[in-house]
Amino acid sequence: MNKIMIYPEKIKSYGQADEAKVFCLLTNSEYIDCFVISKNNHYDQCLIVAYDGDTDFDDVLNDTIPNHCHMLTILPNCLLHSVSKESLDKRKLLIMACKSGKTSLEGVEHFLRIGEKIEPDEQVNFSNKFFSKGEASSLFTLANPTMGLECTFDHLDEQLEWHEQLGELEWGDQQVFPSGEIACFLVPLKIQQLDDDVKFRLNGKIALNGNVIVQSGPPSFLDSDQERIFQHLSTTMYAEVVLDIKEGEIIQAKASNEKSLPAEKMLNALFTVDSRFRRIYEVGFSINTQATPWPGNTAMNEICGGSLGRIHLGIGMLPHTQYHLDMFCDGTVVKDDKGDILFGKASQPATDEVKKMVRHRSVSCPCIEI
Amino acid sequence: MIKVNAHKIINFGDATEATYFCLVTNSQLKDQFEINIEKKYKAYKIFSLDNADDFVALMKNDMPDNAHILVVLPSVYFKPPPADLLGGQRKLGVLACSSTPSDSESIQHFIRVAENTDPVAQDVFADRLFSLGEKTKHLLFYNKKTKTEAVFHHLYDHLSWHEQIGVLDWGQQQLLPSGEISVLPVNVFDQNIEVALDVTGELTLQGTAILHSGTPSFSPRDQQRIYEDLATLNDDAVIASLDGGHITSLKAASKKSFRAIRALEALMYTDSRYSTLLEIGLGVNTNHDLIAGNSAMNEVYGGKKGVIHLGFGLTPYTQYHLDILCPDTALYTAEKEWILGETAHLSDQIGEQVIG
Repeated sequence: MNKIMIYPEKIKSYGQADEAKVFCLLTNSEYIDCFVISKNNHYDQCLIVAYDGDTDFDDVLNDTIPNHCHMLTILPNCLLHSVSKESLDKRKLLIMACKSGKTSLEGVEHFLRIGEKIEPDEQVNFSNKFFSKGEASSLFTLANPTMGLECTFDHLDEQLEWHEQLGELEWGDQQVFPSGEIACFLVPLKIQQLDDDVKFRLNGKIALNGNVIVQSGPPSFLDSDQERIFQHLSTTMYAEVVLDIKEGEIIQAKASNEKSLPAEKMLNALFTVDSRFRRIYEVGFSINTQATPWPGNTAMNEICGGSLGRIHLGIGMLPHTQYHLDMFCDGTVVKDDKGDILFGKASQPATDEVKKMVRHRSVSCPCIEI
Repeated sequence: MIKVNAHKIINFGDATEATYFCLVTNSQLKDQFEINIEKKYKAYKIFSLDNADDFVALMKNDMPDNAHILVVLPSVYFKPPPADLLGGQRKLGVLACSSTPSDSESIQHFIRVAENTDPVAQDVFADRLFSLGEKTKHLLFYNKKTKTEAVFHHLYDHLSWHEQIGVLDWGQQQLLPSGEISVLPVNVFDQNIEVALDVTGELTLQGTAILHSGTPSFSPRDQQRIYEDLATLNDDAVIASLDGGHITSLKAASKKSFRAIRALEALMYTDSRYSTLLEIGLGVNTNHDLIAGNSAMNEVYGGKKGVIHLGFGLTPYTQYHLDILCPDTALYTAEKEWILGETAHLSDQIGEQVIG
């Protein structure tokens, strides 16, 4: 294939003019000749550095990558564990999540072009409105008006953690690229052990409909199994699977018709082998309205927000369960306690703040090891 | 109290005047042991250990140089130490009690089994197996109740035979109670667990199941639930068809084993590596009484004439390792000479349905 151009000057996620002197692409040695960095930029130096995950990332930072650097990682062959703010120092790190799902170089190029279109301020404004409206509502309802389904979501539960993958980076920050997700997590990231008694206050019925992502991480798995599970679960693109949820736990998964029976069967097999797959660990809000999905099991599809934002559920939690499943719920909107739609099909103006939702500017993708 | 008659554990072999008997156990169990050494040992010591990483320091700093060491660590995933850490004047016996839940009662039970174990008789089993096995082109499994047959091509160089039997020499280690000869493809230890044992035909899965956990994260409640599903193999059989060691179909003999077949299918459906026959084990501990429930130490159960078990999945690659004991299946040479297991009444029928 032709070499893939990277246009760092187009990436607004790095923020407004700072003192960056270097742009650095980190990629696996196998792909080092696949990329070209555009010369039309303000950097003094552009580097392409090989990294295969077999050396400590902090050592790579110290030995190879100078400060005042904008970094981009494209590492289809290895996991990149989160890097501390201290280690990054005067560097900004954007990470393309191309290992946990399987993304081809064509898919990487697709998302590079999407990333260049991101307007961080617009995402921040969108997010601020979302949180403002959210804090004004005592309850969220995830509603599928067409199917007549509703699931209540106590989004003000203080144990929840809200992570934003959006906006401009500061020195020492890292972010998934392309950005565009607000994710609400049940448990802290990198938690040592999952507690069966910690539950999402989600109650009701919700329909899985749309694309899925089967994310892998440190637990051993076969690529062919990951792909097969993805294929089966992806039948929710053709027909819904309705989840009956009680206190954040899936009591029943039922295909709405025969087209999504493979997804129903696979979900039930996963529940049999590891009951933690019954547990909802994430309610994700994809807000990148520029992004279009790339075919196949692609982690970067998680940000694809359609025209007005899309909801997905995160099932299972890496590295405890073998996979983390992101399953979209197209046709489902978020309603506030007045019944107004605040995410999905329509948006409402902000109302007065009453309660707070604890927000975190995320330092890494919350649900996966990238 | 958990009583240990250390002098009765023949697997440790002879002691010298300088030999200590040492028990390494979790701190919460340390005060629950009562140790009897008679006149075999100089003295005994009990060490507590709650973190496997601390074993190195324990061996270097505290453990007597001349010792028979019994490890009973139900709460620690214990890895075999390298030979240089064990040293040339020590012997190590590890009670296999961490991969399945083990309470004081089951620990006591299997210490009794270890005390009653006759390691010399196990050597006789092994010698017979290897003597006959090396003279025949393949091995044959035959189940006297269901009449299922399967052929095992066992003479490949890539197979690795492991013996957890016999009396320990200085510097050696062994799982206790002893009594297992097992064969696995060598490559499984290099992460390639898709390599199967070359078994083709039908195998009857019926008997005690063991569901081992390891380092991969799991829910103990799930382990127990899946075990209980698999335990319905005690009630009725599931017939597995294998082609080159890969399960191609499962068929429940009756509704009694429905839960087992559902669990097996779910395991294979979500992780296809469970459909690969990775291990054939031969339990040769004939002084063994099975204990109810999910117990790793049931694996060495040998009945009266040896018992075959089949192993699927391998931790830490798969979430669990599954062993299914098959006491009604016997092992024969290609020439239909009996090697191990309960014998068939109609031995002349063996081999008729199998293309060898």
